[in-house]
Amino acid sequence: MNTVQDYKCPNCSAPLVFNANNQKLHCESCDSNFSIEDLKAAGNQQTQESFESKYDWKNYHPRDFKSDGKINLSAYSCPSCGAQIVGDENLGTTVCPYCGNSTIIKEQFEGTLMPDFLIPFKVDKKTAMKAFEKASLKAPFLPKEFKDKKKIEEMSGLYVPYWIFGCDCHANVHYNATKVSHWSDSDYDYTKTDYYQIIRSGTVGFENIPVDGSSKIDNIYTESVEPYNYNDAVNFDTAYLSGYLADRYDVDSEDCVDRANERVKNSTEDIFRSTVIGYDTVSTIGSSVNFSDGEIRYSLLPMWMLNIKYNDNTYKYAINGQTEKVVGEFPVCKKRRNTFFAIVYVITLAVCFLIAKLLGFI
Amino acid sequence: MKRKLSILTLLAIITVSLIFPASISAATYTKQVEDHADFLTTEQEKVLSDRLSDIKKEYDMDIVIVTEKTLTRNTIEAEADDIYDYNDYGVGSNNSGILFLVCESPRKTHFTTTGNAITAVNDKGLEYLTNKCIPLLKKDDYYNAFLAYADGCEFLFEQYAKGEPYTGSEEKVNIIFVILAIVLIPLAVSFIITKIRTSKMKTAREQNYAQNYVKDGSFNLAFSRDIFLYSHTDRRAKPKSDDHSTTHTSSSGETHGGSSSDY
Repeated sequence: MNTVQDYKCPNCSAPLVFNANNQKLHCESCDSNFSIEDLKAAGNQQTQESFESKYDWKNYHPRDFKSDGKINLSAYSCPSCGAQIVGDENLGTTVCPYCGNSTIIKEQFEGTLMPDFLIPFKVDKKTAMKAFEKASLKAPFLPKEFKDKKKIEEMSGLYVPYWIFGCDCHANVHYNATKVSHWSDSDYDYTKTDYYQIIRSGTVGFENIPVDGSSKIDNIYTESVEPYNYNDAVNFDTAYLSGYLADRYDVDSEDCVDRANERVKNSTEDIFRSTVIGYDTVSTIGSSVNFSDGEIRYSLLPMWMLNIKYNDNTYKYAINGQTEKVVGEFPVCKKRRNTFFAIVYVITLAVCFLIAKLLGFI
Repeated sequence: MKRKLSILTLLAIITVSLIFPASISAATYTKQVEDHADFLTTEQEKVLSDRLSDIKKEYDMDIVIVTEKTLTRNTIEAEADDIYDYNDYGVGSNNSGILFLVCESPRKTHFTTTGNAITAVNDKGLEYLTNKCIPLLKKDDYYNAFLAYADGCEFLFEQYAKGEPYTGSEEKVNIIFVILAIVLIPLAVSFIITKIRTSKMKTAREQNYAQNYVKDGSFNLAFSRDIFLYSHTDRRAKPKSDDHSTTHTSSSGETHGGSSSDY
């Protein structure tokens, strides 16, 4: 039995007809021509994948923490936001680092999970505060009285639980791309658009992608303080907790994989996209990212949590306990912002008038 | 018999005047400002005359103002054409130039163009001159109307000299540009700059990428193909140039452009 191979147009899906003159397949619907070689390549790639990604992470097996007796740990619970924090028994803190509630309750320590590694604090409280003051100077519309009138409600050094993801991906990404050229004759302006299908595939590896394992702290804070330098990572030891708080994860690794997958997929598409050059427009048609045995580890990463009260509002800031990076949202002085807008408007208006005058338009 | 003779004499005079229309007034049109209706003072006449001479010298185009108390031809167009054709006006082999005739009774005006001035002062250019001069003539402000005529002709000749005869789009561009300059551009620029500055007040943002965590040297592009699919060409007709000139032939057989107006 003979097998008849039907080729369909990649653009409009109409049947293609072989043209003996130019040895190409012709689409009578959209008047396109394709070489058989390219169609086969496109077809093979297309059928090999349906742009469905497969993410296969290894199951994480939790290990219970066993006290080594170096320091005595206590559990602290916040009746306001429900945070469950572990800390040095002698810490003496009475304020929740997340919500600023001061009626935090000290409880009997009942155990926690053993982190695979930890990055110790490199930034002390004084340095962290200096970093915050420096960052506030760069906030352009900060109210002038913020410096004097702000009230620091609480500043706590906190080890934040993160799930750390690593994987080696194989990816196939398809893009639509165009090249546009223009020319004119005496009667007409012409715009020629060449359409391409771009296929890229290969491998790329990721390591140490952190995803916040605490529901008490907003992901935008834990993601914005990134990156951490994992060269400083050490095996967990309770001695590192002395003087600091440590949160226990309440979002398990399985619930964090979606976020890790999203970041891996976005970055993979972006990395392969960087190899598509020489086109005027490029858009992703679809991608498939596959890997197996992705690694998940549990870690504690250092962060200073700062709650500041100003004009009856609480502003939260997070400071990377390793790199001093400050993130948060500063209050905006509307008067300063509007004055800035007006100044820019007047200057731009003057420049526009000047240009118009020089060009003889007015 | 006497009566017959006088009729013949009258017919002869009319015939001669029709065949040689300029001969009636040939001696009276020699200057660039011929103010037969006495709209101008001597001083104004001199200023205008100097101005027109300068323009003539600069652009190799004659530029003339004539005022009349009444018309001697059927139409003001024929009057203006004949004055131009039979009185040695014009520059170069094709007698390039423009003449602005203003009649007191009836209150009519006509611009007549010849040679290169037909292209330089095309239909849009004539409309431009009309819009500049007629409102002033309606107020009997003859001197300023003639100054506006001189300025307008200088502008149109300059455009022609640049190889870009006036198309009437200049003023539209001006209006659009001024509106943009006054309101939209500064507003948009201020908004964008303020927005960028305001965004610095919030440094906590989601990180949707993981570029910081790519393993060194792990990226390997195993397959790469760029497949040309097809081409599509759009053709758009160019906007037609608005520098058309309507012409007619005068009694002398010369080709003229021009337009008449009441005031």
